[in-house]
Amino acid sequence: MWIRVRLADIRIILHFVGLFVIGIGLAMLLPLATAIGYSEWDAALDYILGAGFAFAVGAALVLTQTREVKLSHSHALVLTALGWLAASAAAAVPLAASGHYGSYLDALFDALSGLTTSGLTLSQDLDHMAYSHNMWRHLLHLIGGQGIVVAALSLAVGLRGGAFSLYLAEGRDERILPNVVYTTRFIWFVTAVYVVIGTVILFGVNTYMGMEPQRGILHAFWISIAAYDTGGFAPQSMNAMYYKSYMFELVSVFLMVAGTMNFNLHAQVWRGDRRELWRNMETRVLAFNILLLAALTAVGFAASQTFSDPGAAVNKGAFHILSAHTGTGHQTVYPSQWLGDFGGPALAAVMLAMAAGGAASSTAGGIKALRLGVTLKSIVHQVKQSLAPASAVITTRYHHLGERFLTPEMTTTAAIVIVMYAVTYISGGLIGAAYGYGAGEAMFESISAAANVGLTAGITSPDMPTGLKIVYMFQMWIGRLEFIAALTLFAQFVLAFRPSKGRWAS
Amino acid sequence: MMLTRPGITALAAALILVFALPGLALAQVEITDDPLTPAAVVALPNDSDGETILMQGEAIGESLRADDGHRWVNLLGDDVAVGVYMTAADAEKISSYGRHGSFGDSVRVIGVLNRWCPEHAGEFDIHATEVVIVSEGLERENPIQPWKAIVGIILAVVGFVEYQVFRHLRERRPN
Repeated sequence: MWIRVRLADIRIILHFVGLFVIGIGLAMLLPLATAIGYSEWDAALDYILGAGFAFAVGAALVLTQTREVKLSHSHALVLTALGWLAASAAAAVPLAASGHYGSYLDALFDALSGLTTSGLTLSQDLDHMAYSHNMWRHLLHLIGGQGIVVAALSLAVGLRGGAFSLYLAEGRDERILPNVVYTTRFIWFVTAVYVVIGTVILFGVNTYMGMEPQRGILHAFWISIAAYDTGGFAPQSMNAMYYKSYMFELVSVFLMVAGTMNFNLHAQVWRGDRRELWRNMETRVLAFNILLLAALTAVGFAASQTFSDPGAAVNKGAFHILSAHTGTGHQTVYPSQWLGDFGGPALAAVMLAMAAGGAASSTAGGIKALRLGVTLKSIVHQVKQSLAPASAVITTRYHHLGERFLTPEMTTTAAIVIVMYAVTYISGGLIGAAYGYGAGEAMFESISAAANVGLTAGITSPDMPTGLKIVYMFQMWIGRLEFIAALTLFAQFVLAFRPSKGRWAS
Repeated sequence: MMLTRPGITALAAALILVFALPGLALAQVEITDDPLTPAAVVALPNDSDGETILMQGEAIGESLRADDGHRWVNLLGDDVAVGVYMTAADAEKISSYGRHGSFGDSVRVIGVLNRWCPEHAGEFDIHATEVVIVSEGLERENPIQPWKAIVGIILAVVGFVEYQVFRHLRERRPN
């Protein structure tokens, strides 16, 4: 039965959206401190403006509901969908004021791209951007990578009931610890461990390469966040090409792979069960896909007769397949080279890797290895069932944090999400082509946006059509939420204009 | 074996083609010519690999260690930057690099373009043979706009008052 939204429900949702917006305002204190620390007084004012805006708007929204309320599952879905948009809108204010964006829409594009850990950017003159603005862009990866709901839950910000519904609404599969607040804190703990390790090693690399220590530490921190949170932003317009270092690539690959692993798997390994790492179906699917697609990319490079050194072809191929598969989007080639120099199999392999995505319950986007594994298993199951006698009962098992039996519900859910991603990828590609871009680059960019990757074939730029900017923003948002929360929001919007007898369950 | 006159002519033409023309091509690039921007270099067709080119751009960030005696300097132009592999002595000529507070030196280089450099793991780079500083970098103006602080503080105060109202109302009727 469809349940219609009431004014009271809207007030509850707006109240919690307001809390998210205030949270974004509080997070702006870190780039403000960075601006003060590095004497970037012009940029400091952008954060005073941004934080003030977030506090005023956020508190006004909080005022819409003054009684203590409990969130229902439907509230959680709509709140999550709206929360990401509202947080992006507030986060875009200091970026828009920075002078590095052509319009507020461009700044909003970057804020949404940052929070959804996509990494596509419309920034201008990035190489002269203030440290504080780069701190904010990368901090958005950190907040969004864990999930803004996870960020709020870990602080237990004003949430009374409905916490687990919110956690699930953000595309997480299951809780790691019995209490959802402890679960979200564990996610932050794992993130902190990897970001600290990455920052320390990359600081050493940067200093060795010749960066000043105060600059080297910031770059190390930002790249660690962008790689672990599978974001893809970088403080220089050349992205990962700027650093010219094998060691840099090695450390960022380590962080990307760690970031794309399921947080539950991190927890199992943390508890001492290292065998789970090799037995887990997700890990196996990821490893198989990455090896296959890296080989295909290397073959594509060889076919394009570009790299004379096979080692370089393998190195470039593996780096970009890992960057694409993990949903990170760091790149060491120019966007125009994908079609102009490499083309064919390499391009196809990178698109397939982006579309597939990382593990479930991770910071990565895309279809996810668990769903691909479940779908493959169900195909095998169907074939077995066709060959078996009519009276035989066929069961299929797989290992994912323990032995599990394949159920029709799992197969259906996985298939639905795969179809929805496929429709989103193709639709975005068709829209890009309708704007006059080549089919290959339009599909590449569409998959990159919807799977929250951030690799670009060159379409994403401040000069791209406004309509296409909005399409990619929509794709980044709906891809990050894995459809259900966003579709619930649309359904409620449609139902608001239809007569109904019901009300939301609470 | 005796060479006939036509044979000698053909051999001479072949020798010219093999040795002289590439030399002429190299000689065609002069530091005083009109340089390409980094964006234009990246947009060159893929058969430009191995060509000698003249490029000018703003040095950004810092010079990075390449190997003993060489540094990497990234040159920016039209919002695209290209890495240039140059001697440490050439890199030392650069006094300013582009950052938030400064524009870097404008640097002109003649060098060999490698779209997939065999020496540097397939990087897109330029191996410089000549480096000239065209102009020194400048301080970059980042104007302070006080209205942002005024509006921001007013909004923060409004937000604080709103939140106090919220707390007051919640205390009066918690459920």
